[in-house]
Amino acid sequence: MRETYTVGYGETTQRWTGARTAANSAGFLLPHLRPDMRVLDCGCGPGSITLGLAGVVAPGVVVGVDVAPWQLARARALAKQEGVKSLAFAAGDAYRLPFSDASFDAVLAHMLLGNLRDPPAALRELRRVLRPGGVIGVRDSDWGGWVMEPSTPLLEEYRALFLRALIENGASPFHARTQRRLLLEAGFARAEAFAVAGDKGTPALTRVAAENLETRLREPAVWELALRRGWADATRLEAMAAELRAWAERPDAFLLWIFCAAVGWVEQA
Amino acid sequence: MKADLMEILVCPVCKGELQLTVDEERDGEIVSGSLFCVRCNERYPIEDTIPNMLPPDMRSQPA
Repeated sequence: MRETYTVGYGETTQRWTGARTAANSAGFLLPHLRPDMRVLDCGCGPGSITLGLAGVVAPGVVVGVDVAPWQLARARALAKQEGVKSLAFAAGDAYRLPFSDASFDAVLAHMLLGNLRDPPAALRELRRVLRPGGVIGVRDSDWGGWVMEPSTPLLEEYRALFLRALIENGASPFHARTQRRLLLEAGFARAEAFAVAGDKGTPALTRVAAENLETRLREPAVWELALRRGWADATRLEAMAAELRAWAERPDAFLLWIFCAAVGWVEQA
Repeated sequence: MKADLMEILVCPVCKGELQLTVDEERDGEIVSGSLFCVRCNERYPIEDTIPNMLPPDMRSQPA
Protein backbone atom coordinates (compact mmCIF):
# COMPACT_ATOMS: atom_id res chain seq x y z
CA MET A 1 0.00 0.00 0.00
CA ARG A 2 1.33 3.42 -0.92
CA GLU A 3 1.45 5.89 1.95
CA THR A 4 0.83 9.62 1.62
CA TYR A 5 3.85 11.94 1.45
CA THR A 6 2.15 14.92 3.08
CA VAL A 7 4.85 17.49 2.32
CA GLY A 8 4.53 16.63 -1.36
CA TYR A 9 6.67 17.66 -4.30
CA GLY A 10 5.90 21.37 -4.70
CA GLU A 11 8.62 23.38 -6.43
CA THR A 12 9.80 25.16 -3.28
CA THR A 13 9.68 21.86 -1.39
CA GLN A 14 11.88 20.24 -4.03
CA ARG A 15 14.30 23.17 -3.86
CA TRP A 16 14.51 22.46 -0.14
CA THR A 17 14.90 18.68 -0.42
CA GLY A 18 17.45 19.15 -3.20
CA ALA A 19 19.56 21.55 -1.09
CA ARG A 20 20.30 18.84 1.46
CA THR A 21 23.88 17.60 1.43
CA ALA A 22 25.70 14.76 3.14
CA ALA A 23 27.52 17.37 5.25
CA ASN A 24 24.45 19.32 6.40
CA SER A 25 22.07 16.37 6.74
CA ALA A 26 24.13 13.26 7.42
CA GLY A 27 27.15 14.68 9.21
CA PHE A 28 26.36 12.50 12.24
CA LEU A 29 26.83 9.35 10.14
CA LEU A 30 29.91 10.38 8.13
CA PRO A 31 32.49 9.49 10.85
CA HIS A 32 31.26 5.89 10.62
CA LEU A 33 31.69 5.59 6.84
CA ARG A 34 34.86 4.31 5.18
CA PRO A 35 36.05 4.06 1.58
CA ASP A 36 34.83 0.93 -0.18
CA MET A 37 31.69 0.53 1.94
CA ARG A 38 28.41 -0.25 0.18
CA VAL A 39 25.75 2.16 1.42
CA LEU A 40 21.97 2.34 1.08
CA ASP A 41 20.34 5.79 1.05
CA CYS A 42 16.71 4.89 1.70
CA GLY A 43 14.31 7.68 0.78
CA CYS A 44 16.99 9.43 -1.25
CA GLY A 45 14.63 11.79 -3.10
CA PRO A 46 16.47 13.99 -5.61
CA GLY A 47 19.81 12.49 -4.59
CA SER A 48 21.86 15.41 -3.29
CA ILE A 49 22.77 13.55 -0.07
CA THR A 50 23.33 10.31 -1.99
CA LEU A 51 25.98 12.02 -4.13
CA GLY A 52 27.83 13.29 -1.08
CA LEU A 53 27.83 9.83 0.49
CA ALA A 54 29.26 8.41 -2.74
CA GLY A 55 32.16 10.84 -2.43
CA VAL A 56 32.90 9.57 1.08
CA VAL A 57 32.79 5.82 0.38
CA ALA A 58 34.17 5.73 -3.20
CA PRO A 59 35.06 3.38 -4.78
CA GLY A 60 32.26 1.79 -2.72
CA VAL A 61 28.81 2.15 -4.25
CA VAL A 62 25.88 4.08 -2.78
CA VAL A 63 22.45 2.79 -3.74
CA GLY A 64 19.66 5.37 -3.63
CA VAL A 65 16.15 4.04 -3.15
CA ASP A 66 12.95 6.04 -3.31
CA VAL A 67 9.28 5.29 -3.68
CA ALA A 68 8.97 7.95 -6.43
CA PRO A 69 10.69 6.79 -9.65
CA TRP A 70 10.70 10.29 -11.13
CA GLN A 71 12.66 11.59 -8.13
CA LEU A 72 15.28 8.98 -9.02
CA ALA A 73 15.41 10.28 -12.59
CA ARG A 74 16.32 13.67 -11.10
CA ALA A 75 18.91 12.03 -8.85
CA ARG A 76 20.44 10.22 -11.80
CA ALA A 77 20.59 13.42 -13.85
CA LEU A 78 22.34 15.16 -10.93
CA ALA A 79 24.86 12.30 -10.67
CA LYS A 80 25.57 12.52 -14.39
CA GLN A 81 26.00 16.28 -14.19
CA GLU A 82 28.46 15.95 -11.29
CA GLY A 83 30.27 13.03 -12.93
CA VAL A 84 29.73 10.69 -9.94
CA LYS A 85 29.84 7.09 -11.13
CA SER A 86 29.77 4.99 -7.96
CA LEU A 87 26.00 5.32 -7.61
CA ALA A 88 23.02 3.10 -8.31
CA PHE A 89 19.32 3.81 -8.03
CA ALA A 90 16.24 1.66 -7.65
CA ALA A 91 12.60 2.47 -7.01
CA GLY A 92 11.49 0.58 -3.93
CA ASP A 93 9.35 0.37 -0.82
CA ALA A 94 11.08 0.87 2.54
CA TYR A 95 8.98 -1.92 4.06
CA ARG A 96 9.86 -4.40 1.31
CA LEU A 97 13.35 -3.62 0.06
CA PRO A 98 14.59 -5.41 -3.09
CA PHE A 99 17.90 -6.45 -1.51
CA SER A 100 19.13 -9.70 -0.02
CA ASP A 101 20.00 -9.93 3.68
CA ALA A 102 23.27 -8.30 4.78
CA SER A 103 23.76 -6.43 1.49
CA PHE A 104 25.05 -3.16 2.96
CA ASP A 105 27.76 -1.89 5.30
CA ALA A 106 25.77 1.23 6.13
CA VAL A 107 22.28 2.67 5.71
CA LEU A 108 21.00 6.24 5.85
CA ALA A 109 17.29 7.02 6.27
CA HIS A 110 17.02 10.81 6.23
CA MET A 111 13.54 12.28 6.74
CA LEU A 112 12.04 8.94 5.82
CA LEU A 113 10.61 7.40 8.98
CA GLY A 114 8.60 10.49 9.96
CA ASN A 115 6.62 10.11 6.74
CA LEU A 116 5.81 6.47 7.39
CA ARG A 117 2.90 4.94 9.25
CA ASP A 118 5.05 2.21 10.81
CA PRO A 119 8.65 3.34 11.49
CA PRO A 120 9.50 0.18 13.53
CA ALA A 121 8.61 -2.09 10.58
CA ALA A 122 10.79 -0.02 8.24
CA LEU A 123 13.67 -0.15 10.74
CA ARG A 124 13.45 -3.93 10.95
CA GLU A 125 13.63 -4.12 7.15
CA LEU A 126 16.60 -1.73 7.05
CA ARG A 127 18.35 -3.86 9.68
CA ARG A 128 17.75 -6.96 7.58
CA VAL A 129 19.77 -5.55 4.67
CA LEU A 130 22.70 -4.53 6.93
CA ARG A 131 25.62 -6.90 7.46
CA PRO A 132 26.71 -7.92 10.97
CA GLY A 133 28.54 -4.93 12.44
CA GLY A 134 26.81 -2.63 9.94
CA VAL A 135 25.71 0.89 10.89
CA ILE A 136 22.50 2.83 10.34
CA GLY A 137 21.88 6.57 10.59
CA VAL A 138 18.36 7.98 10.89
CA ARG A 139 17.40 11.65 11.03
CA ASP A 140 14.01 13.31 11.23
CA SER A 141 12.41 16.42 12.64
CA ASP A 142 10.27 16.05 15.75
CA TRP A 143 7.14 18.17 15.77
CA GLY A 144 7.45 18.75 19.52
CA GLY A 145 10.34 21.11 18.84
CA TRP A 146 8.39 23.42 16.54
CA VAL A 147 8.33 27.08 17.68
CA MET A 148 7.08 29.98 15.58
CA GLU A 149 7.47 33.43 17.07
CA PRO A 150 5.72 35.75 17.42
CA SER A 151 2.76 33.43 17.34
CA THR A 152 -0.79 34.40 16.43
CA PRO A 153 -4.07 32.48 16.68
CA LEU A 154 -4.04 31.93 12.89
CA LEU A 155 -0.47 30.58 12.94
CA GLU A 156 -1.44 28.26 15.78
CA GLU A 157 -4.40 27.14 13.72
CA TYR A 158 -2.11 26.51 10.74
CA ARG A 159 0.25 24.46 12.89
CA ALA A 160 -2.60 22.38 14.34
CA LEU A 161 -4.14 21.83 10.91
CA PHE A 162 -0.89 20.73 9.30
CA LEU A 163 -0.17 18.37 12.17
CA ARG A 164 -3.67 16.94 11.90
CA ALA A 165 -3.09 16.34 8.17
CA LEU A 166 0.21 14.59 8.89
CA ILE A 167 -1.44 12.27 11.39
CA GLU A 168 -4.49 11.68 9.18
CA ASN A 169 -2.11 10.82 6.30
CA GLY A 170 -0.34 8.26 8.47
CA ALA A 171 2.87 10.15 9.25
CA SER A 172 4.74 9.81 12.57
CA PRO A 173 5.52 13.43 13.49
CA PHE A 174 6.60 12.72 17.08
CA HIS A 175 8.61 9.54 16.53
CA ALA A 176 12.02 11.22 16.16
CA ARG A 177 12.57 11.65 19.92
CA THR A 178 12.22 7.86 20.27
CA GLN A 179 14.71 6.93 17.52
CA ARG A 180 17.24 5.51 19.95
CA ARG A 181 14.64 3.24 21.52
CA LEU A 182 13.18 2.31 18.13
CA LEU A 183 16.61 1.22 16.91
CA LEU A 184 17.09 -1.01 19.94
CA GLU A 185 13.60 -2.45 19.58
CA ALA A 186 14.30 -3.14 15.89
CA GLY A 187 17.18 -5.36 16.98
CA PHE A 188 20.19 -3.07 16.77
CA ALA A 189 22.76 -4.01 19.40
CA ARG A 190 23.40 -0.42 20.52
CA ALA A 191 22.37 3.07 19.56
CA GLU A 192 23.35 6.70 20.13
CA ALA A 193 21.10 9.72 19.66
CA PHE A 194 21.69 13.39 18.90
CA ALA A 195 19.72 16.55 18.20
CA VAL A 196 20.32 19.75 16.34
CA ALA A 197 18.12 22.81 15.95
CA GLY A 198 16.97 24.25 12.66
CA ASP A 199 16.36 27.98 12.72
CA LYS A 200 15.18 30.83 10.51
CA GLY A 201 15.72 34.26 11.97
CA THR A 202 16.83 36.62 9.21
CA PRO A 203 14.57 38.42 6.69
CA ALA A 204 15.77 36.24 3.80
CA LEU A 205 15.37 33.00 5.75
CA THR A 206 11.95 33.75 7.28
CA ARG A 207 10.70 34.45 3.74
CA VAL A 208 12.07 31.11 2.54
CA ALA A 209 10.46 29.41 5.52
CA ALA A 210 7.08 31.04 4.93
CA GLU A 211 7.22 30.12 1.25
CA ASN A 212 7.96 26.49 2.14
CA LEU A 213 5.20 26.38 4.74
CA GLU A 214 2.69 27.90 2.36
CA THR A 215 3.65 25.45 -0.41
CA ARG A 216 3.08 22.57 1.98
CA LEU A 217 -0.24 24.03 3.11
CA ARG A 218 -1.35 24.11 -0.54
CA GLU A 219 -0.48 20.45 -1.11
CA PRO A 220 -3.67 18.51 -1.94
CA ALA A 221 -2.83 16.12 0.91
CA VAL A 222 -3.31 19.08 3.27
CA TRP A 223 -5.52 21.67 1.54
CA GLU A 224 -8.02 19.31 -0.08
CA LEU A 225 -8.05 17.09 2.98
CA ALA A 226 -8.84 20.07 5.24
CA LEU A 227 -11.72 21.10 2.97
CA ARG A 228 -13.03 17.55 2.71
CA ARG A 229 -12.93 17.00 6.45
CA GLY A 230 -14.38 20.43 7.16
CA TRP A 231 -11.37 21.46 9.28
CA ALA A 232 -11.36 24.85 7.54
CA ASP A 233 -12.95 26.45 4.49
CA ALA A 234 -10.93 27.92 1.60
CA THR A 235 -11.24 31.46 2.99
CA ARG A 236 -9.78 30.33 6.28
CA LEU A 237 -6.94 28.45 4.57
CA GLU A 238 -6.14 31.54 2.46
CA ALA A 239 -6.10 33.57 5.67
CA MET A 240 -3.53 31.14 7.12
CA ALA A 241 -1.39 31.48 3.99
CA ALA A 242 -1.59 35.28 4.21
CA GLU A 243 -0.67 35.11 7.91
CA LEU A 244 2.45 33.06 7.05
CA ARG A 245 3.49 35.71 4.51
CA ALA A 246 2.82 38.51 6.99
CA TRP A 247 4.83 36.66 9.64
CA ALA A 248 7.81 36.39 7.29
CA GLU A 249 7.95 40.20 6.90
CA ARG A 250 8.04 40.87 10.65
CA PRO A 251 11.45 42.11 11.83
CA ASP A 252 11.14 39.86 14.91
CA ALA A 253 10.01 36.67 13.14
CA PHE A 254 11.77 33.52 14.33
CA LEU A 255 11.21 29.87 13.49
CA LEU A 256 12.82 27.02 15.41
CA TRP A 257 12.53 23.27 15.03
CA ILE A 258 14.42 20.19 16.13
CA PHE A 259 16.08 17.44 14.17
CA CYS A 260 16.72 14.22 16.03
CA ALA A 261 19.30 11.81 14.70
CA ALA A 262 20.45 8.40 15.85
CA VAL A 263 23.11 5.88 14.91
CA GLY A 264 22.64 2.18 15.49
CA TRP A 265 24.91 -0.83 15.09
CA VAL A 266 24.05 -4.37 14.14
CA GLU A 267 25.71 -6.96 16.38
CA GLN A 268 29.05 -8.22 15.09
CA ALA A 269 28.97 -11.78 13.73
CA MET B 1 21.81 -0.01 -13.62
CA LYS B 2 25.08 -1.85 -13.85
CA ALA B 3 24.93 -5.64 -14.01
CA ASP B 4 26.85 -5.98 -10.73
CA LEU B 5 23.83 -4.65 -8.82
CA MET B 6 22.46 -8.17 -9.42
CA GLU B 7 24.76 -9.27 -6.56
CA ILE B 8 22.28 -7.77 -4.08
CA LEU B 9 18.98 -7.33 -5.95
CA VAL B 10 16.16 -9.72 -5.04
CA CYS B 11 12.42 -9.78 -5.43
CA PRO B 12 10.99 -7.27 -2.90
CA VAL B 13 8.11 -9.59 -2.08
CA CYS B 14 9.61 -13.11 -1.70
CA LYS B 15 13.31 -12.05 -1.55
CA GLY B 16 13.99 -14.70 -4.17
CA GLU B 17 16.47 -14.55 -7.03
CA LEU B 18 15.73 -12.51 -10.15
CA GLN B 19 16.40 -13.27 -13.81
CA LEU B 20 17.84 -10.34 -15.75
CA THR B 21 16.75 -9.59 -19.32
CA VAL B 22 18.64 -6.82 -21.08
CA ASP B 23 16.85 -5.00 -23.91
CA GLU B 24 19.31 -2.14 -24.30
CA GLU B 25 22.79 -1.59 -22.92
CA ARG B 26 24.96 1.52 -23.28
CA ASP B 27 28.40 2.33 -21.81
CA GLY B 28 28.32 -0.69 -19.52
CA GLU B 29 24.92 0.27 -18.15
CA ILE B 30 21.62 -1.52 -18.64
CA VAL B 31 19.27 1.13 -20.03
CA SER B 32 16.17 -0.99 -20.39
CA GLY B 33 15.11 -4.53 -19.68
CA SER B 34 13.49 -6.36 -16.83
CA LEU B 35 14.00 -8.47 -13.74
CA PHE B 36 11.81 -11.52 -13.46
CA CYS B 37 10.89 -13.36 -10.27
CA VAL B 38 10.06 -16.95 -11.15
CA ARG B 39 8.52 -17.71 -7.77
CA CYS B 40 6.10 -14.73 -7.87
CA ASN B 41 5.76 -14.80 -11.67
CA GLU B 42 6.32 -11.05 -11.53
CA ARG B 43 8.33 -8.84 -13.88
CA TYR B 44 10.07 -5.69 -12.63
CA PRO B 45 10.87 -3.23 -15.42
CA ILE B 46 14.18 -1.42 -15.90
CA GLU B 47 13.40 1.94 -17.49
CA ASP B 48 15.93 4.62 -18.35
CA THR B 49 18.58 2.67 -16.37
CA ILE B 50 16.49 2.56 -13.17
CA PRO B 51 14.97 -0.73 -12.01
CA ASN B 52 11.47 -0.26 -10.66
CA MET B 53 11.48 -2.64 -7.72
CA LEU B 54 8.24 -1.40 -6.18
CA PRO B 55 6.01 -4.32 -5.23
CA PRO B 56 3.23 -4.82 -7.81
CA ASP B 57 0.56 -3.29 -5.56
CA MET B 58 2.49 0.01 -5.49
CA ARG B 59 3.79 0.17 -9.03
CA SER B 60 0.76 1.21 -11.05
CA GLN B 61 -0.12 4.22 -8.91
CA PRO B 62 1.33 7.64 -9.71
CA ALA B 63 3.92 8.88 -7.21
